[in-house]
Order: sequence, then structure tokens, then C-alpha cells
Amino acid sequence: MSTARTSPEDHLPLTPAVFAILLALADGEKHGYAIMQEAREHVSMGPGTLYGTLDRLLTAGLVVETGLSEDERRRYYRVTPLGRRVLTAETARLQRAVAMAQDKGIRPIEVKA
Amino acid sequence: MKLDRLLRIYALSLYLYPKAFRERYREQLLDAARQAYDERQSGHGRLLLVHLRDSLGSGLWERISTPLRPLHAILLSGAATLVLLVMAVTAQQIVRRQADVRPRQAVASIAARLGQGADEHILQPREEISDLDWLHSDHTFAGIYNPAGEPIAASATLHGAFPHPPSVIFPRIRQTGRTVITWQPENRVRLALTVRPLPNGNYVVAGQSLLPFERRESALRLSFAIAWGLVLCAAGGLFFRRSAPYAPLR
Repeated sequence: MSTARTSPEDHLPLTPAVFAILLALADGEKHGYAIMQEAREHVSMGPGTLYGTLDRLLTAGLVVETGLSEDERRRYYRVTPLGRRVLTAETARLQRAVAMAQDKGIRPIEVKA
Repeated sequence: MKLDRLLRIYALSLYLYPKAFRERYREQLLDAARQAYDERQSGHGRLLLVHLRDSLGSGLWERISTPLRPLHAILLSGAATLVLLVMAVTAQQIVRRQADVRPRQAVASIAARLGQGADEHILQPREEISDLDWLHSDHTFAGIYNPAGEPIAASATLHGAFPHPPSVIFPRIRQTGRTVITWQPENRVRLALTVRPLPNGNYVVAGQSLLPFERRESALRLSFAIAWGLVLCAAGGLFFRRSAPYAPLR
């Protein structure tokens, strides 16, 4: 990803890890472990994958650091307006894919990441 | 296992990441791992394995995404060259040894028949070694030689005469026990020979053209040269790629 990309569609499709991280940050800022906990609902993710992906999101301007915890061990992250637009665009893309699958008779089953 | 020991092992795995990434995210990675252990009552060992696998996968990915330093590019190219060289030499040796299989079988068969009382007339010249068809085939020739290395009988000729390897090789074979040699009687005619000394002082020799095997060796050399070129291109690509610095600390 590059900072030169400003249109949300330029970032699509998102990888499962990127989608899970942006989704975890959609309801407010969180630190790394909290993101990882929530992201694990959708995708298997270790600390290295989390911070590697977060770094690319920072570089692409989809996420920003907002500060440190009191003990200065944890850094907090927030999704940017561009990141939110990308998340919205990806959600719409996935919804279209789901609708197409349902039109073809594919029904969801319970899947645990 | 105590949690601090698990964390120390995990901390060691962070060396799989490039230095810049490690310096930027080390504390956060360790904090995330610490919280994951604190959250669980059991299964810490399995979680460590998950974290180590994550370090291996994402660490290698971060390294691939990061330009190589000159020393690392040289070391990587050198190591890859060495590995490919060893593989190429080994493959070449294997192909060359395949050329000795049929002559060895022929020598054993003829020696057995001679041992059972057959004479040299079991070998009648039926083929010409210098024929291109023979040189490109997997046919073997066999010959019987006296203690001085002079041919007594052979199943093929070389320009109308029995093939006559240098006489000096025969006593040397008896001395050294090295029974496999390469003989080049003339340009473009290269033969893999197997020699067996007989109890009566004579020798049985069998040979096969090396041309088909040298073709395979050439194809192998070309494959390894291409692989080497690709490795050098990959190392060069990793070295010259544009640097993508990690997000700055705020």
C-alpha cells in the first residue's frame, strides 16, 4: 500500500487481516492486543502479523497512532476517515459477493476462524 | 513452563524480523504476547508454538519486504551459489555413474561365462564404435585383453580393429583396484570403461559411449545456470528494491 492511494477503491480487495483490523478499530481506538483479540473472531492472527499489517496501514494512512498507555508499554491506534471509507467500500464489496452467492443457492454455515 | 521463560523464547524469535522492524515494534510484540499468556490459564506451550510460527511467517515476510544490506546480499548470493554448485556437481556425478552400470553388468556376465569354461569366441565383433548411431545409443561393447593389454577378442571394432585402450591402464588397475575409467580414443569418442582382472592374468573390458550422458549433463548444467541466474536476480532485486521505511514513532 502506498500513501499515494487516496481513493478507497484503490485499496480493495483487503486481505482478511487488514479487514479484521480495520473492523476492530471501527468502534474506537484500541491497543494492539485488543485489536488482536477482536480480529481473532474472523482470522487467525499472531502479534507479528498484527504489527506487520498495522505498520502497512499506518504507512497507507488508513490508521494512526493516537498515543501511549500510562505505563508507556501500549500504543493506541485509531482508524482514519480514509480507513473508514476503505472499510465501508470493502464491506459493500463483500455484501455484493454474499448476495451473488445467495442468488446461486449458497447458504452460510457456522465457521469459526 | 514459567511465563517469563516463554516470553524469553518468544523474544528470541523476534530476531527473525529485520532490525528496523524489531526496534520499532519489539515492546508492543512482547506486550501482546504477555497479555495473551496472562489471559490463559493453560495451553501456554501451544500458544508459544503459535507465536513462534507467527514470528517465522511474518518475520520472513518482513525480511522479504525489506531491502537487503550489501553484506547480506553477498552472503545470500554466495550461499545460494555454493548450494547450487554442490547440487550440480552431485547431479553430474550421478549421471556419470549411470554410464558405468551397463558396462559393469556386461563385465560380470562375461567373466562368469569365462569362469564356467567359455572361451574368447563368445565375443564376435558385430558393431562399429565410431558409428554415430552407436555413439548415441546405450549399446555396450566388451573385449578380452591379455596380461600385456593386447586385445584377444571384442564384440565391436573401432575403425575395423579391436578397441585398444592404452596398455598402461591394465597393470594400474590391478595395483589400484580402480576399475572404472574414461577413455577417449579420438575426438568425439568418449567411452565409460569398466575393467575386471581375471585370475588367469587376462582382463575383461566393457564400455559404453558417454555421449548420451554428456547430453544429460549439459541439460543439467543449463538448468543449474538458469537457477543460479534467477537466484542472483532475486538477491539483486531484494538489494536494489526501494526502501519502505517503517511508520515513524510518534
